[in-house]
Amino acid sequence: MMGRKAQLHTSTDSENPQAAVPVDASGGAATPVGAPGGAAKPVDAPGGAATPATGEGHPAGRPGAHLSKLGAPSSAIGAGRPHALTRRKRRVSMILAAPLYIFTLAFVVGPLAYMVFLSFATRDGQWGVKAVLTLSNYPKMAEPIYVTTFVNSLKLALITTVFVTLTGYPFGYFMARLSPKRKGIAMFLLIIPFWTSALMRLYGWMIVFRANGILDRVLMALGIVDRPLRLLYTYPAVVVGMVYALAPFMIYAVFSSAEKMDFHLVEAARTLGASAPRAFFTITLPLTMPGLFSGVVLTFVPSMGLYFIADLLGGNKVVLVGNLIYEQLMKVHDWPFAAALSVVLVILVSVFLFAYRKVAGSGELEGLV
Amino acid sequence: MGDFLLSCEHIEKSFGATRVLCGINLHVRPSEFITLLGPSGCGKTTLLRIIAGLEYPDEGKVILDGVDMTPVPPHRRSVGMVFQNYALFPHMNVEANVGYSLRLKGVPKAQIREEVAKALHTVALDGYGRRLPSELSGGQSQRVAIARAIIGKPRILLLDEPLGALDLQLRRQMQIELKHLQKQLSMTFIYITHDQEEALTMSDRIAVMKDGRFQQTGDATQIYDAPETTFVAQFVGNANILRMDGRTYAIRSEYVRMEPVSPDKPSTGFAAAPETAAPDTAAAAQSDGTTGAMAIAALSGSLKTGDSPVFHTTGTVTDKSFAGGQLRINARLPDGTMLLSSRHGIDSDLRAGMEARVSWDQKHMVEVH
Ligand SMILES: Nc1ncnc2c1ncn2[C@@H]1O[C@H](COP(=O)(O)OP(=O)(O)OP(=O)(O)O)[C@@H](O)[C@H]1O
Ligand SMILES: [Mg+2]
Repeated sequence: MMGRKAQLHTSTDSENPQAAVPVDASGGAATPVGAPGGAAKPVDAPGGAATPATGEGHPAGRPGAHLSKLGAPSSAIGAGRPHALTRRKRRVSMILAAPLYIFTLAFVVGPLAYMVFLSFATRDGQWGVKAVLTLSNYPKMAEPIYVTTFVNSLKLALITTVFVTLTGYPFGYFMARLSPKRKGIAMFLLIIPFWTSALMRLYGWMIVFRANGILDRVLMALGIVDRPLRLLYTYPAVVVGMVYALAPFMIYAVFSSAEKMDFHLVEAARTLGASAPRAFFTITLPLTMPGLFSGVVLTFVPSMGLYFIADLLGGNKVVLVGNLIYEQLMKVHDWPFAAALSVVLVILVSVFLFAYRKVAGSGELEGLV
Repeated sequence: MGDFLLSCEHIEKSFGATRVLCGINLHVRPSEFITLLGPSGCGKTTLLRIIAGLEYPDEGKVILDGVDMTPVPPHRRSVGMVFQNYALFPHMNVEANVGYSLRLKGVPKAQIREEVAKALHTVALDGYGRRLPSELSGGQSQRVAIARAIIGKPRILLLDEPLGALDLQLRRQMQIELKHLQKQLSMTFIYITHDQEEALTMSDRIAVMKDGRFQQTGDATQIYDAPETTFVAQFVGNANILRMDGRTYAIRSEYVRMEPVSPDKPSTGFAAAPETAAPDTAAAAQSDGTTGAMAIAALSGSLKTGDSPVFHTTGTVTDKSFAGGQLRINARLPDGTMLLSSRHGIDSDLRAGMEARVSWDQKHMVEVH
């Protein structure tokens, strides 16, 4: 009885269009405790419920990453159930999932299709767009300034991701090792900044970085530098702003992955002769890899599009694809070209996500799913 | 001193304000099977972790083979550990788990494969090398954990309630296998359990722990038949505790007889005052001022079979139960002391609320403190 129930759960779950979640996340709209996490959470749970039903008696401290793997075989068993039942289940789950499909269609597929269409349209006058199809918007991108902008964007995204990883990974890992009470406090502190607008926080950074601003004055008072650094409107300021904006996603992703890890595994490795670094690279890192990977995705993908940080902290010195698209839309009013730029950006990001899926073995994003 | 493989000298450990270990002294001989037995929270795991190097003592020393290991990190101690939840690396198959310590040492691959096969054979898991930990039963996981810990030939193997998660039948079987393995490898085992039966059947020596202190150390016979403290008598032997004449005695329930009081013999007849007792045992029969008027008559052994003096009194039966092939009767003595009597059998004429004649031989009383 129990077994059947669990299998039914997993069979319906396998049909949930969970692929929609990473797509949503790529929009950069997801907060660390955002809605996608809540919506997709049940994916994990039935996998866990099915485990005792198969009577395999798993040890308690097993990282959650394996739950999804365990879920897979039991849903395969579920496929062998009487057809009528399965079909009805499928129909029910399709109806239940309908709002999700409609939402995806209306807010993801629709705009995307419109954007692709626009990218092949012709500019008409000051604001307008003519429905005359052309390919000319794409070759235009081969011009050196545009290519340079794309390369710069990729470079900044890469640098940001590296710094976010270097700061966010240890942060998330050690946060997971805190006592439950302190964990709650740390989580709270992590979320607080999201209560104010990102723009306000950027203005805060501007005040810090301004010539003779807080940073300069503190550094000079401490005698570390003797002249103002004038960091505002420089590349490092942009990197700091990007890292600041995106680190919470990495922290949360690594945290949720590390929290599922049983620390006894590291201790077991130590008693088996592993030094602390060896234990980290052979046990901790592989087991928190899902979190690290999704942290990288959650950092890299939005950082391709975060144009306002470069705008506010970099002045006009740092121009990214996002700035370019914004300019083409709002200042030049060349909508078709802006659309073409966006299409290329989406393709780039998709290639990245595809590579991620290949490497990570699944499209699930730790911390969000 | 020289013949001890491991010496723990005056180990002190506190977590915050809680004193967990208070001056522990433990000396272990080579090839000895020593068990730490004690209730939950008494500090068994903490002591084991200190021996393994996973925790550092506040005071005291851990000496292994004459070398002070106190400051040495776990990976350079050659002390193996089997964790209660097995702590198998979930991202490695059985073979990789078992061969982990050899890989760290840089042993050639072919040799690792050979040794892993041998170790798996030792724990009767031939052919399980390719399985993932999630595909093993509890008992199999336990065997893998043991194989993984013994493959590097540690000088001491620490086992923290290794059978705690197994069902009774498997537990009994694994007890025998573990004991056999220890003999076969002639490896030193320090074993934790809070199951007294397990401790009695497996160990060469038992250290009974309570509140961070050793209560008594000795072999099974000493611990069981000659408990030194009230706690050991109760925890290991489930003994009754009697206070007589300002002294405390333990008497195991199987030595306490209870029979219905026959109507023609008034029960008061057995509650003789100390003055009427035989002169040689009068002192022992004097009522204990601290526990009220204890009316226990000590009569010469000639009245009963055997040559040991017999104590007898009356009590009110409070309950009767049947468990594990034993009939267990509880009675309240006039001074309020509860006494448990157990014997093989299904039933007796005694019923709750009845007066019972309670008696035992003096030779079965063990003085404790
Ligand atoms: N890291 C820690 N921080 C604070 N207190 C701890 C820590 N580890 C153990 N303790 C406390 O120390 C005491 C002894 O714990 P320990 O784990 O050694 O007990 P144990 O004898 O192994 O018990 P059990 O049989 O339940 O495993 C307990 O009161 C426990 O709460
Ligand atoms: Mg313990």
